[in-house]
Amino acid sequence: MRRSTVILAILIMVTLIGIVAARENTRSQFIALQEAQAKHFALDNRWGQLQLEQATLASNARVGDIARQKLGLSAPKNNQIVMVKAQ
Amino acid sequence: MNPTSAHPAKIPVRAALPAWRATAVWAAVTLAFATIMVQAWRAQVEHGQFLRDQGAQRYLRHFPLPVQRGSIFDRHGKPLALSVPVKTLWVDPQIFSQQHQKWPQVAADLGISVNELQTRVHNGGSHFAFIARQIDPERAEKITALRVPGLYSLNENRRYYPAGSIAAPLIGFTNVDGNGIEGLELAYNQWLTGKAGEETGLRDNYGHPLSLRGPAHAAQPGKALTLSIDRHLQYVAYTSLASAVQRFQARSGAAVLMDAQSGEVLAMVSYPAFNPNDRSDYQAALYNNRAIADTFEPGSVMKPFTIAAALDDQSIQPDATFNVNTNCFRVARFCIQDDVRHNNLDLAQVLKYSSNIGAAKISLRTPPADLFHMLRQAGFGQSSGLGLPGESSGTLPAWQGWDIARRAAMAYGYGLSVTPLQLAAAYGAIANQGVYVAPTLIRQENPGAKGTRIMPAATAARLTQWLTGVTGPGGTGFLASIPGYSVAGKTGTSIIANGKGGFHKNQVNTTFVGFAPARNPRLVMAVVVRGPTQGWRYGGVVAAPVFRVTMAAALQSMGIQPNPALLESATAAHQASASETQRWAEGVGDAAH
Repeated sequence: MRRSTVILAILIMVTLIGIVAARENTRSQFIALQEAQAKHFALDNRWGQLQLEQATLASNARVGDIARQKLGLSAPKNNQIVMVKAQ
Repeated sequence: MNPTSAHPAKIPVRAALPAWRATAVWAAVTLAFATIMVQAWRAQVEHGQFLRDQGAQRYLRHFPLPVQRGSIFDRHGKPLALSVPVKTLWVDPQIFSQQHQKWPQVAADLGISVNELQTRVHNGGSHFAFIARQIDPERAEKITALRVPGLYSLNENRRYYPAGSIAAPLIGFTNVDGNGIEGLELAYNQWLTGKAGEETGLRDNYGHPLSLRGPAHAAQPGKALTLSIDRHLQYVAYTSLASAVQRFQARSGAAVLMDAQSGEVLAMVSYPAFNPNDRSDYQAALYNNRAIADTFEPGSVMKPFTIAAALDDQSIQPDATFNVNTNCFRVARFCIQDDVRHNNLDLAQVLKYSSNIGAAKISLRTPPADLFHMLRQAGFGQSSGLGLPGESSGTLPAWQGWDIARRAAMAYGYGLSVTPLQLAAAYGAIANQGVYVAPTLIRQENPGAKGTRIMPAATAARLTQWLTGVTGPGGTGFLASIPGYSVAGKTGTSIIANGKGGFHKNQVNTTFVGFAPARNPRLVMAVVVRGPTQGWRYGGVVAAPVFRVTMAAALQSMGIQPNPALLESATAAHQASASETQRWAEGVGDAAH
């Protein structure tokens, strides 16, 4: 067998292995991309829920109710306001 | 001798193949290869892209990438509208219909009956039908985990409004596809909407991506919108307005709170409103942003502009007095009356006691063109420029058509119609030393001096001083006074027109417009309560307290300190007697017109 034929066969083998490796790499990268997208969606979802939760917890109606009913707070009357002069 | 050897057997001699035959075979083979090569060239080179695309269309799928709609924030960064990721479930009816044994489980997880699921499947197209839109992702995951062939999920976004009804008519809302269809969501739809992305690839029978082809077109999220609205003040204005509407059993109400210097709208509320997060109980009337859509004849709140026009063209002098000592000041066939009879009133007293007769006399001395131009420059009869859908311009008839009766009526706010926003912006000009600043709903990073001068600073200063008397003891706007602060403002009570050239017998609009602190005005507010049916139905009684509560909160919120001297005298001044309460009433004269 000619030497050139052997070299050619080896090159073909290397190329085939390269193609298989590239395919495998693409698959693993695609799986990683899918996982990252799923994580992105989950984090986005969590972020939105947290923003909503914060907005709900900080709503004026809720804070007002807690201040009045649980903490017994009320707005000061005129004679209870003391003006402090800035030095 | 073997005869056979003598005569060897005859071997059939095949005639030599004709030379053309081999040539023909070679030619045929060559032609066949050439044809194949040509076809291969055509298929792979000449029409290669077309055929590849055609093939791709038959096995590749386009996956839309959801785009995030821009959030809407108040001036302090608190969210007013947010988009949260959700899942939408859809089916390919041709595949899904073969999975009847799994339908009960899918229906149970969706919380619907099998019949309802069947209806949803049949309501779609031949290859696409929604079975659940915008549901909680965890619930959707549970259903897709059943791995029912032909059932797929889509990522979408759902709009939530944390402020609920308090800002609903202003913010508006989106439809299920994420397009703004009311309020700011509609006005700024292009700004808020991003550009949807798309990726192309293979999917298995369960809808899971197998591979992608080519780079994805990434979604471009919409831009955020930061409003000038202060969510806290919006809440205070809404609750105090709702309280007034409920207490006086009125039909509706609207209020606008503005920064007088920058024109930024800090609160814009309507009542009744709706819950934008649950629109199952649709009532079209609740969706109106009454602060910009509802027009009405404003009544006495127009008197300061009548006086300003008269002062500017020197039709009257600042120390002019008017004899209003009559039960009926007749103009053409109309009788103009005051609810409380007075003798001579100066300009401050015309405002303080809200004298219709005094205002009519001033107007009749003023050229109508001058009054018209004053009102026009103050923003009446034209759009505010906010760009909100459904905004009304109101009506301000051309002065050439005013007869003497209309000239008198315009003086105390009849014969034209305005919106609460126009009133707030116009009074903002008085507060801003005579400079009109167009209102804006967008947060201004560097609010600089801008606007149009509509009256001399001296006139604005005089009006401010006189309007401060309106909220003092004995003034019709006494209930708008805020302990520790000087408040300038004007009450208005007007009979509601019936649209047939007359007026409803017992239906009024009650109004209060004012600003504070009067010495260095920062905030201006207009309150309108439409159709109160209980108690004293006057602007000074119904609308003024809404102003007081909201303005007090706003002044404190902006860190504007009260005046200690005013604070000490405030407690005693607020002990209003019954006779003083009666002075808050006004509008009897209006009713007779």
